[in-house]
Amino acid sequence: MTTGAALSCPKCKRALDSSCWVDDAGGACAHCLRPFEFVPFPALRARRRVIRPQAVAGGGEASCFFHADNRAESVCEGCGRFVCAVCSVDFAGRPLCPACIATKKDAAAGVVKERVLYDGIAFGLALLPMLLWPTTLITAPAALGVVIVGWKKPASLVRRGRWRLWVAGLLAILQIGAWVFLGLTLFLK
Amino acid sequence: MSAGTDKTTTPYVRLARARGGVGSYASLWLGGDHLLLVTSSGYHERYQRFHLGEIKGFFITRSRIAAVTLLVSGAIALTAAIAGCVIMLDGGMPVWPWFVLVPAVIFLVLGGLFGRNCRVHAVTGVQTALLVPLARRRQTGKILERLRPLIEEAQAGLEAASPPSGPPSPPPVPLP
Repeated sequence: MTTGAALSCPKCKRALDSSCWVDDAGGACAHCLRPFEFVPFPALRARRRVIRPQAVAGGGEASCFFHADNRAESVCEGCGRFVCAVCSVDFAGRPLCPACIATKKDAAAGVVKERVLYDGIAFGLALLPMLLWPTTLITAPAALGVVIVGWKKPASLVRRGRWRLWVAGLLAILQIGAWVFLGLTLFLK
Repeated sequence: MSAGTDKTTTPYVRLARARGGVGSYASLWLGGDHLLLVTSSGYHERYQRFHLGEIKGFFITRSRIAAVTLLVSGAIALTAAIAGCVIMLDGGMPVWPWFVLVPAVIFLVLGGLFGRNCRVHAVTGVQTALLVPLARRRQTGKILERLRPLIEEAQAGLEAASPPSGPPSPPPVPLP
């Protein structure tokens, strides 16, 4: 059960006992003496939901795909299997079975843990080497490559638009064009 | 996901601007049913979610970073100003005090306006995580007021434990 006593000090990580609290809104840690305010929400006092699967009563009842003795209580939206209350997990707003969670975890937008920002890499590769322009002979094709590779890759979850990719691509093409022009000019001379 | 669909698939509203140190910065966003803490290096982003229905509360503690910045930069600015005055009174040209005074004043202003004066930790059932972007007490108050109805709405269906077991009440004060 979640209780206030289970809260720990954000500074020293030790449990905050009753002597630490002045009132519901704050107090000071008895160990590190760090004063704190606390803004509580109903989940602090909530009863933890206990899930108890029901046993299959008769032959006509559907049973869980993973637990043959448990009565099926929902259908996995990923694979359509009947699952019991234990196996039905609310995952990113959908009831899924553990097997589907394992396979969909990397793909579901709601559970993405990290992303590579190809637009940021391409932008940096196209822009920064211009400070030391001869390096653009190598970095411009690299930037164009990153633009091409990153074009179909998922972007940041929070940034809107892909202007960096556009600008990086344009800069990379200009730099490559400039090198081609320079090379042709030198060759013709 | 293609480039063209990104504008419609970004359901996040920014709560706090990016903040951080050297090499990485963090920002806080509000999604449909969760807070999203984004830590970015410019080339890579990491996401940490706090579902509104699972947030037990927020710890707010004071931070002295802004005060220390103000104190140190103020002392340096004052020293440089005094040195400049002394040099001017001697008939000299106070060149180096300007080079010290200007950055010190910039730090003074930035520290006063944007320096960290609080730390906010979000508490859920499994973690107590520092919300780096929430650094100013006033800004934090505004954001928590904005979040409060959303969190309470998300937690409306939760059953209260019995007996009530929030932050424990203070022990009785012994009589003299």
